[in-house]
Amino acid sequence: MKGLKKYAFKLGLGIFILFIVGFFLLPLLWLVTAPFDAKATLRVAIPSKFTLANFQAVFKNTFAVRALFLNSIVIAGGTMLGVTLFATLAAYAISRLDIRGRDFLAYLLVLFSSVVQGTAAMVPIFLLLFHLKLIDTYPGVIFVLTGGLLPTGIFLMRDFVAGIPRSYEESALVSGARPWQVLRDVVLPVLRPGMMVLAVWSFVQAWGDFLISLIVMRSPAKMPAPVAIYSFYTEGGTPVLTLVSAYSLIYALPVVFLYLFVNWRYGFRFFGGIKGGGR
Amino acid sequence: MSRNSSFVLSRSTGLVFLAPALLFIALFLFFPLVWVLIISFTDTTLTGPAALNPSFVGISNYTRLFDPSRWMRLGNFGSALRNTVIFVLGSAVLGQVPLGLAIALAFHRRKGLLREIVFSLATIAWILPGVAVAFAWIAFLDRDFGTLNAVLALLGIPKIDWYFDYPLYAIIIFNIWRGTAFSMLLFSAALGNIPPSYWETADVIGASAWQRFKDIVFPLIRPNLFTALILVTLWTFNVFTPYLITGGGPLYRSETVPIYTYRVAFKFFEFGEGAAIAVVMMTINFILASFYLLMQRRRAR
Amino acid sequence: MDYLYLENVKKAFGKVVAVDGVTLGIGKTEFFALLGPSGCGKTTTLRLIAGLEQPTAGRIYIDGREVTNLPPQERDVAMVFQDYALYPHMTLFENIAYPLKVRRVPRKQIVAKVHEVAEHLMITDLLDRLPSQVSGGQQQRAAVARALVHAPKVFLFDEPLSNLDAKLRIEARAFLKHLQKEVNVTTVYVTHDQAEAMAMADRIGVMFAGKVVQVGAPLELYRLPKTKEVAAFLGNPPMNIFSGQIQPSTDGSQFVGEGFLLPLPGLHIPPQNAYLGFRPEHAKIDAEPGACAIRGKIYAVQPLGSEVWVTLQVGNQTVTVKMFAEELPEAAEEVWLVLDPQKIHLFDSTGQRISLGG
Repeated sequence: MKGLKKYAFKLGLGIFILFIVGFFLLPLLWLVTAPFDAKATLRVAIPSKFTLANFQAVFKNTFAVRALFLNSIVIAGGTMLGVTLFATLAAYAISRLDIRGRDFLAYLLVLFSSVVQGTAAMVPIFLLLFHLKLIDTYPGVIFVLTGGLLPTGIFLMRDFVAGIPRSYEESALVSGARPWQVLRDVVLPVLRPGMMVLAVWSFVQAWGDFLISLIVMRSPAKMPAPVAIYSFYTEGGTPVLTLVSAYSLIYALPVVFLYLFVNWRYGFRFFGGIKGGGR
Repeated sequence: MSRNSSFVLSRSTGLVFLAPALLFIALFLFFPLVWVLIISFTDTTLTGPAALNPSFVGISNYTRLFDPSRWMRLGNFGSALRNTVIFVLGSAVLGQVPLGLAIALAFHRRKGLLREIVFSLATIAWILPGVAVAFAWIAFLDRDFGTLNAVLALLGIPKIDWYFDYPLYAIIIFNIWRGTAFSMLLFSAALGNIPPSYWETADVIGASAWQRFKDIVFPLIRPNLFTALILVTLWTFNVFTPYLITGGGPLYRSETVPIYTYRVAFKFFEFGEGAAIAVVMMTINFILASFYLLMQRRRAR
Repeated sequence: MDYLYLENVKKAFGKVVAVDGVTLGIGKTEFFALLGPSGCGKTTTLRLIAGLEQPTAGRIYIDGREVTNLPPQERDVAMVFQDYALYPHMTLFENIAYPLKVRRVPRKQIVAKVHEVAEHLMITDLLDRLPSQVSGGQQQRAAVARALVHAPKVFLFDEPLSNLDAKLRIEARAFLKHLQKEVNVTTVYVTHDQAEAMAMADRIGVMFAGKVVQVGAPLELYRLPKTKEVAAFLGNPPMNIFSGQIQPSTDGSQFVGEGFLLPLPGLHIPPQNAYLGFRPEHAKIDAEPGACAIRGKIYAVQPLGSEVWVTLQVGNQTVTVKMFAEELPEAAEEVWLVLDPQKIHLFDSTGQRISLGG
């Protein structure tokens, strides 16, 4: 009887795994079939008329192309630079400087970023940008995204910086290096892997942002991809599936590549400690 | 071990390093928090007379939100709140977290291609940009052509019009698909931290899978369970992406609080009222986040 | 003034006083060990010399120049850290060359000097490797090479051997001692391992609880420890110590311990509460009593090849004696622990040495 029980268990497990694979895979399939189908529908099907014409049509739409290849990159890139630079500096300073109430500050940061998130912050941020004359500007969006991502970014970096032994810096000092040399020759190179993770993470977060761009950007020329995609609707208000699917795929690809890269280089895992940091 | 400040970073340089980050955080987190509280007591709008001269209206924005005679009607705050509670319970508490745990358990100590595939698929579902994923799900859920109905048809279930008949369920399923990866990765790491000798001892004793879970796994991952529940609840409560699939409809039946906030504040530019909703949202966030942090601190001792 | 001089140096971290008024003079080319248990302040003292900590009070002089307020990079010292602190992203060559690079030494000279020092430490073949690609012992030598390369005034070592396995440690000891004699640089060496300090140093400074309790040559500290703590810290196995009272007796004094009486013939010491100590190699086990003997029961025998350690139960405590295998009496339960009155150490109730004049 025990053998039967074990067999049943294995069978159940197998069915479960099959279900899980199907569950995560099926919704994604449309994104890889429809773009290549000249007669794309909402169905997932092997393209009857395989074609790359959808992509050609997408590229003809200069507005959308500009949105994707200029605006989205500017916004995501700018946020990436801002978050990586400022979070690293801040994390390093917090870790190496003996600030009173350091832990309290950290908890406060986490609290803030958890409280002021999503649509809750939209009203005051809109008004703030309005008064700073940053509505409909790249810096406006970049600043808001950066501010929102910094607390979590600092947390991610803080763990990493704490893991770097102070003896590296001390040894450099005793060797005769001035502080700025220590930072350049020892600290920065050792921090680089952490900064890379931070850069990829903040880029992906900003790349996918829809809400802030929607609220802050007003002129079509500055809209990033997630907003521009709605220009592929007909006048009647229905999406042109061939174009929408192709555009979505192109838009999604950089994230896939970044994931594969990070997974290959570092392995995409949580190494034990989680301090928050999702969407 | 030195507790002194390092000589690499003098105090003044260190503060310079901190300044930009603190400035951003003060400006875009702290300041809005305070301001939104103030606005919620006014009748500020974007255009019109109230924009130039907003007046103080006391708690009328709040009372309107919680007005018992109307608030539970579709399209009002109470309805959005009810939808959100169902949404969070269904997709976070009973969805993402248990599913993530189940997957982590299923693949625990089993390496190989299958594990890589499952983990990659789940993670990609989690990190793909919201808009792309939304269109994929619009296609997936379509009554006539969608893949979900096609699969259900294989099981003998007739077509379901997800958008019109079960919009809330639709976004619940979507959100489970979207966010499970986080719990999966979290529990995977936690399970990996359990020393192999625990499992080997269980083997020797001859414990069944259920006994193993109950007596070994569950006690050891309880803190992670708690972390996952609180964080996922917090994020799910605030998530906006479902708007791109159902738009909060039809007729506000899938409108959660974030979507409701957006509609009030940016479709009608009723900033005062939008701010009041935002304050309520932030209060709920605050309660959840404080709970989480308090538990962390207690555990750290 | 001595080459390296610490004048009444004090270091407090908030309320905790790590270094409590230390005055030390170390001579040029001397190998000086700072020895003590964990937390005694020896590493902090080292870091004060390096400039990695600022003293709360007191002054520090190197080669006649006051360095108390100078940052580390201006003191011309070199330090080998416990974890070696080799930069993981630089090759061994670049690591060793770093002190010269920051001093803007011309490239050609750097190459020459690095090779010279690498040869000395026998790591020339490894210069192109990263620290992660070489063994612990080799990393340690690279760290030493980096310290050597710019000819510092003072060499500082912070427990450099504690991360090596036992066999490597013994080899490295001899190597470092020989190296220091060749290079002839003033060296301050921090360790908690008394054998290491004894083996390598010209002089040892023993520290307890932030204070330097005794300074002297290794054998001097071994033979004439000033306090009970110093006596117990040096030597392996450690000195055996009884507590009790000194009382007068017919031909001198006697030591009254718990459950035994030890005659001290010929010694006239004022009566007081006291501690009596003797080193394991200064006692014998005999079937017959001698002039200065106590009864004891054999507790455990550990044959170690060249010698035997016998642990006896005397009164309420155990005592360990070191002897050669041939001298062990026949298997007997009750034996006599025979001490040499010339080699006994007496300490008063505060732990200070009672000198045995006469």
